[in-house]
Amino acid sequence: MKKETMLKAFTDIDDDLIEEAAPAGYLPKKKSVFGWLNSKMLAGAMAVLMIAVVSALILLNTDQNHNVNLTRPDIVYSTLEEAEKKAGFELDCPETYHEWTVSRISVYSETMIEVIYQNSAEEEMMRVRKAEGSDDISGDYNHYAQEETLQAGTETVTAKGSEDQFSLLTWNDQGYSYAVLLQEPVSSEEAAGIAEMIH
Amino acid sequence: MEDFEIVEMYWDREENAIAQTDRKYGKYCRKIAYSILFDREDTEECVNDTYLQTWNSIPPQRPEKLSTYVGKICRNIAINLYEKMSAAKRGGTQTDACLDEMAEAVGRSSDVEETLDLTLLTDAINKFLRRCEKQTRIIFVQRYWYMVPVSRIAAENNISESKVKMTLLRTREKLKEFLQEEGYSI
Repeated sequence: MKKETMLKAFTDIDDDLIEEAAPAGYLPKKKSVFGWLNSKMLAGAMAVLMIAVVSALILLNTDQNHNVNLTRPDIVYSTLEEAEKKAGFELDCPETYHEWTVSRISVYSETMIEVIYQNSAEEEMMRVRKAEGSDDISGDYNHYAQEETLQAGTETVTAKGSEDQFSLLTWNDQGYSYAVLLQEPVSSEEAAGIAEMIH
Repeated sequence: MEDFEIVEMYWDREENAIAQTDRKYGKYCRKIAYSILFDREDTEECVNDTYLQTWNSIPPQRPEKLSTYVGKICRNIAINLYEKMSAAKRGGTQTDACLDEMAEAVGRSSDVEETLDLTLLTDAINKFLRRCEKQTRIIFVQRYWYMVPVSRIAAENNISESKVKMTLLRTREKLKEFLQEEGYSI
């Protein structure tokens, strides 16, 4: 018998055997089944949940500024082309999004381009960042209750937020690092759509 | 979303079904494919083909467990893609190691055409696996279905690597005996 035949036949073994052996982190976690939780475990879980809720409430009441570690930009540019010349690479991003328009284009340390979008009330709604390398350039070190991996075209995007609404997107592609920071969280579909517009 | 809700979306021909599948099982498929292909581009190609095949197969299929349904499609596509890769690219991967180990149980590749009924062979493998102790079965499936490295299997199961290797060796020998008893020529 060919070893390749065996490998193929192995593919269709029973589903429960495959699921039983799934290594940690392969399958999404299933919803808790209270049947296997004893009262002590349940009490412990509730205590952890309460702490998490209180922590989240504290965080939500603090400054909503994503940019915990923001440094002042070197120079603000009036056009994206000028910023691209300074940084030495191009950034593809929309000129407008919803009714938001570009309010500021900056270059940080000659290595990172940032584009800020504002709404009609001149409130900042979105920041788009691109830099060479693979480091996290979001500058956002907040704790988020939910982290998901989204597929945006060929990119794999890390989306952070809570309750299926995301306000921080980060990804790497072809030697560049990207970050999008949103003032108002969006769904995963919209998040993937935003990431797909940026190159 | 629950699996049945996503499957309904396929039946209703809602394209969001693919996005939901990717959201829930994209990581699962990528891990399966990467374990076989060890190349990110090939992995993405495999996963995209998985979604296409899933879209084309539901309906008429209505899988109860979407995870293993797409997992099996993905594994099949990955193995087929692996076989198409040039000989120069092969060697030294987990897939090669698993194939070499499997060869001990069932023999090397042969030029003789085989006319095996894969369904019956799969049934025999299921029967064999269900006779094994749970930990042995998990180790075996992790190695030859998920193509997980021995070191990871050891960590997952809180045992030494040498115990994993011994378990795999003994189970392969038992599988060989079992298949011979079932009438397969090894």
